[in-house]
Amino acid sequence: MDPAVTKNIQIPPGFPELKVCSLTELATSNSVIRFIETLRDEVIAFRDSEGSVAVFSSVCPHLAGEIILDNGNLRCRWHGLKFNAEGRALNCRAKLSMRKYDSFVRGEDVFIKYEL
Amino acid sequence: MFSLNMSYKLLNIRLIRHSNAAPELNVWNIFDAEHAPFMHGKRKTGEGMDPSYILFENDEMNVTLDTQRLPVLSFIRYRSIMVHIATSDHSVVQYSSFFGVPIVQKYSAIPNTGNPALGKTRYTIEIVFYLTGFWKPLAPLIKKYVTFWLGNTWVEDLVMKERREKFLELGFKDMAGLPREVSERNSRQQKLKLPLPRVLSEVDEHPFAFKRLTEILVDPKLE
Repeated sequence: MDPAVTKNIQIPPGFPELKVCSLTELATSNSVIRFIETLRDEVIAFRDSEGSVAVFSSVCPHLAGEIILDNGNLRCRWHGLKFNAEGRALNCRAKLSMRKYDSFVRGEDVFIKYEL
Repeated sequence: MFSLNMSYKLLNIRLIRHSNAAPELNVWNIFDAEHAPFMHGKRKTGEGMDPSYILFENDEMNVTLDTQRLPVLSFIRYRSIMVHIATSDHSVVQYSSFFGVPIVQKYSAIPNTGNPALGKTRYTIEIVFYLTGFWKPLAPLIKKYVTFWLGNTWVEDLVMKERREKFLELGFKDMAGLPREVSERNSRQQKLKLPLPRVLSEVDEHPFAFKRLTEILVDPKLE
């Protein structure tokens, strides 16, 4: 069974949910980067080291560079900033964090929940 | 006393491009010294840029030490001190050198009044080489190489400019990201401000960095 499903995330009533990608897409490309119009944000979905699905904003909080998954690590393509699994910048002299979205898997798809 | 070599030749190369990024992103891109090795570091033909060091910067200029590699013969590297001066919020003049050849370069951007399908901004890159001695007959070769180099660099930077434009339009702020609320991600909230926020600790650690000069000069007073 998919590890993310076992998390049994409870979605509070009234919280919209948005599909980010399918598990098949994640299985074939390790990570999926997608601009979500409703959210007006670009997100990256991937499986973390424990196999759970995680979704973060892929817009680097530094100067808006693209954050990618590089050999299992989150990295900004523009300036080489590295982020840990919680989204905190590691090789940065300022405190910077990626925005993490609450995510869950239902059926074969990855969703996030968000407040309008 | 210094006398100008009267047998010099000026080699002028001009590149005109268009994009949908606002003119101010021209200045931002050039002053963003930290992106060089990541976005211009690896090219198929071996040339590219190594990490850039910022020696000095303020709200209208910076001085950097840059290292670049030649195409094919990528083991040949040349270093240059570069001085960038923002002459407005959309244009920059750059002084540098190429194996000892003095260079002045101007990057400017204006709203495109021509074919709108090309993009909302017209970018002009103009570079002038001061050639003397044996460099003069090499002008055609230098022109070919530099045009190739500038073309590649433009393409790599264009991705950055247009992405940043997109997120600035959604309210992105440097070092803060997009607004917390989705409903607020709808308008530009930030204007160009120099110097840019630096995040990589090594970027101003060169021993020639202005703030470190007291460590290497015999006379420690910078007066």
